[in-house]
Amino acid sequence: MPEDSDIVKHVLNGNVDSFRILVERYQRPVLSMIRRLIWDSHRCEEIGRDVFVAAFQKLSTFDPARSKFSTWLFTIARNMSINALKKKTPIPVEHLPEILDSRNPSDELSDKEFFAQLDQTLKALPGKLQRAFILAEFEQMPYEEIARIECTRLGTIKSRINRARLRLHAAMKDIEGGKS
Amino acid sequence: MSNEEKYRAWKERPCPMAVSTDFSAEVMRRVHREAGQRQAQWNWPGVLEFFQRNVSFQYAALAVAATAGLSRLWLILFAILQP
Repeated sequence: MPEDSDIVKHVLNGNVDSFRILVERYQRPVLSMIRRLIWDSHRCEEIGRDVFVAAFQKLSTFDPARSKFSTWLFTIARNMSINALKKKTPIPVEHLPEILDSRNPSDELSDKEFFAQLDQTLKALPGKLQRAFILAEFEQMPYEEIARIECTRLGTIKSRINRARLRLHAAMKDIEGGKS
Repeated sequence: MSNEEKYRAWKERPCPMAVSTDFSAEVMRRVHREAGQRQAQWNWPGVLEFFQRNVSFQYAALAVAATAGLSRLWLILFAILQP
């Protein structure tokens, strides 16, 4: 399997078709990340296409000595998701990503409520905390990579994730308190 | 189910991700269009980018500029001193 940096060289040398390998390799993680960041499953493909086209346009600025191709690509996806969030109108809770539910049907309603409330809490967090939490906990990205994508220090990312976790746990207590 | 278990289930819930079959085809169509346009027009930002990234080219340009500058300096000195 060719390395990302080799494919980038091929594309820069005029073999545009090689870019398809990168698109097919990263389309799923990029779309998944965008979907989580913008909370909209309808627009993620449209933004995803823009991300790959922008990556092609800026490919000559990619420096393999500074970062991995995936980190560079996720940074573009992160920036374009932020821009999309600035433009779009808020999405109602019922349009949030659906979950595949394999649990007992009797638990379903309360779990759905619980999940929806946590989604709301996460969505209400400041963008920086939200993104750090989503990339770490949902996308399972290493903290170092998140720090590079967010252009900040590792300690700052750890702190943001921790603050997001604390707020979510506080919200969980409120949900529990509201029920009893 | 305890709150902690629910929290874990919330974090680990799968996010169904169906990428449409023509996603990469559509991206490649736009990429080819972009590449075609790039070939058709002289790309100044690309030239600047090339200059910015290519260190040996920067040295060459600096050497040319220095030579041109020095030759002028000689002319000035020649005019002042009139040997």
